[in-house]
Amino acid sequence: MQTNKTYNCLVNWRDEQAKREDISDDKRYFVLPNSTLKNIADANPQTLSELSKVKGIGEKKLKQYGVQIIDLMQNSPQDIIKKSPTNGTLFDDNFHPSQNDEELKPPARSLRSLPPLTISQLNSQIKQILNNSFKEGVWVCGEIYRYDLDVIKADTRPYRQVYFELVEQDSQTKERKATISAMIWGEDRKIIEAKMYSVSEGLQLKDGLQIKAKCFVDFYPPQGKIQIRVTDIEPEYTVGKMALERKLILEKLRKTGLIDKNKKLDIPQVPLNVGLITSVGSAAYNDFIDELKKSGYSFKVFLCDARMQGTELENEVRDAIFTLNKYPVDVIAIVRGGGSASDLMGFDKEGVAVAIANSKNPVLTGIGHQIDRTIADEVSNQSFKTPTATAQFIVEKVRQFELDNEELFGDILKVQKQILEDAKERLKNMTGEVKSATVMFVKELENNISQTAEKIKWNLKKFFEDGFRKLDELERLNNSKNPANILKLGFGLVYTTDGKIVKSVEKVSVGSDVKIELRDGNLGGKITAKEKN
Amino acid sequence: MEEKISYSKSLDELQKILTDLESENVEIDKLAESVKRATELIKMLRSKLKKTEIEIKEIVKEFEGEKNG
Repeated sequence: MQTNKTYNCLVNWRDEQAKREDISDDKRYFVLPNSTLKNIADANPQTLSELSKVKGIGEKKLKQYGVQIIDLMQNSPQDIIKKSPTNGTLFDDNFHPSQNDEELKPPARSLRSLPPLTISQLNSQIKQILNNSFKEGVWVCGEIYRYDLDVIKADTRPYRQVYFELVEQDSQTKERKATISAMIWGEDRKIIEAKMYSVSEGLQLKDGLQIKAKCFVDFYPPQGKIQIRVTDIEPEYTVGKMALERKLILEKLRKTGLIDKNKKLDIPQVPLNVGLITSVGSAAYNDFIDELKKSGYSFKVFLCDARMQGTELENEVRDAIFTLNKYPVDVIAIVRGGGSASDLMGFDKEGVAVAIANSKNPVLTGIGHQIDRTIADEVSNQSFKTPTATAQFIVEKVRQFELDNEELFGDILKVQKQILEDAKERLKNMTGEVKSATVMFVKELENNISQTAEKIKWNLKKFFEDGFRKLDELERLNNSKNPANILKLGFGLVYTTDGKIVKSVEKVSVGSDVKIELRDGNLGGKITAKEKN
Repeated sequence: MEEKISYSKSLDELQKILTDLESENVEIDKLAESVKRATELIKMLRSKLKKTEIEIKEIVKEFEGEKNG
């Protein structure tokens, strides 16, 4: 009997599913044929892998209906019946109404024998089921979607309610796994926003925000639409989620080395070509441009308009960086005015961070913020508190270059002057040296000359002295031989009559006349004797 | 004539005469003649030397004058 009940349950589910898929009754087997349903009931699979072994369940069917079937199989028929609060129960046998739920009415007859329900009846039953199931409300986590556009219209509505969606995304693929319509009454929104503000200034309901919300599940019979009503949220969850996501992205950036890739780029010395990413016409835009204009330098701004908030921010800023890198810019500035923390969420997105990191030009951020730095700030070359400060930095860079140049020029002038003076001084010294060296040289030369002259003079003197002395000597010698001088001493010369000097006694004979020459005259004489020695 | 004979040649001649006189080689007859010749030579040599000395002194004076000038 159990199998049969299960089978019926499966058939019922299949028929419902066919309706959901707009498949006509005669083609219900498109979902699953009865034979397969029978096989499932017999096999009683409790897991997907067990189900996959059942004959007639292919891969496609497993994927399409597997979870729903296992869900059915895991709930006993009794359980299902118990949860069914209506008299339109699906089963006619073995049904015992719960004792403690008065609303449950025992089904007396088989389904087919009951009169059909109107849609209103059905819907009111559904509404009742839902109300009962979520009587106390339920905490749900999800991401806010389509809120930003609707919240603008809230003030025109009687209860200032906002309609939006809560979605669940696959954390890896970002694929939307589930969506549900949601709303908040104006009163609740006021309280929720105050609560968020108390946790973190600037935290407010926004698209893309991960929230943990207390919800009631409402069903609106006229549209047959299910919608959850958010009455409270836990801001700490959102803050934690944001921090966690931020942390994960930062870790990833660190691991891939992207975190400081842009920081390694040098800002050109004269960044006159500025790529500007901002919302054109915003206060931030005007502040930034004014600051550049005020400087008087000839900045060239390559402007790229991008939304500075909301979910489009990530794509638009990324595209803007990509575009500006194709132009001859020196630096790229991303600026926006001050805003709330959740307004800045886009700057915590991975796409923005990666685009900044991979920019071939240095990226400066001037994203007005009070407390936390965004990931864009972390990854940028340098970050500033305001657009004005960002522009000032760029201006200051140019001014510094100008000042450096002036200083350099001044230095060159000073150094050049010094060099000239040094050269002059050296020349002066050298002139002095040349002069004194010349004087010295000349003096030395003169000394040499005068010494030489002295020597010559001395030599000449000596030469003449020697000459005269020699002549004196020779004269003395000559004088000594002069017979006249001999006669002066008292000697006399004896001459024969024929005038010959008598040098020997033999030359004269006794009786012969001789002449005797004395110093002062001659004597005549006659030899009277001769005696030989 | 005498002036044209060089100083050294005259000196040589003088020296030869005197050497001869010394060695008493000179005939007594020629003595006076030799002595006379020697005396002439001496006189001539001395005057030549003196003259040269004066000339040299003049030259040197010119040189020194130049130097001091």
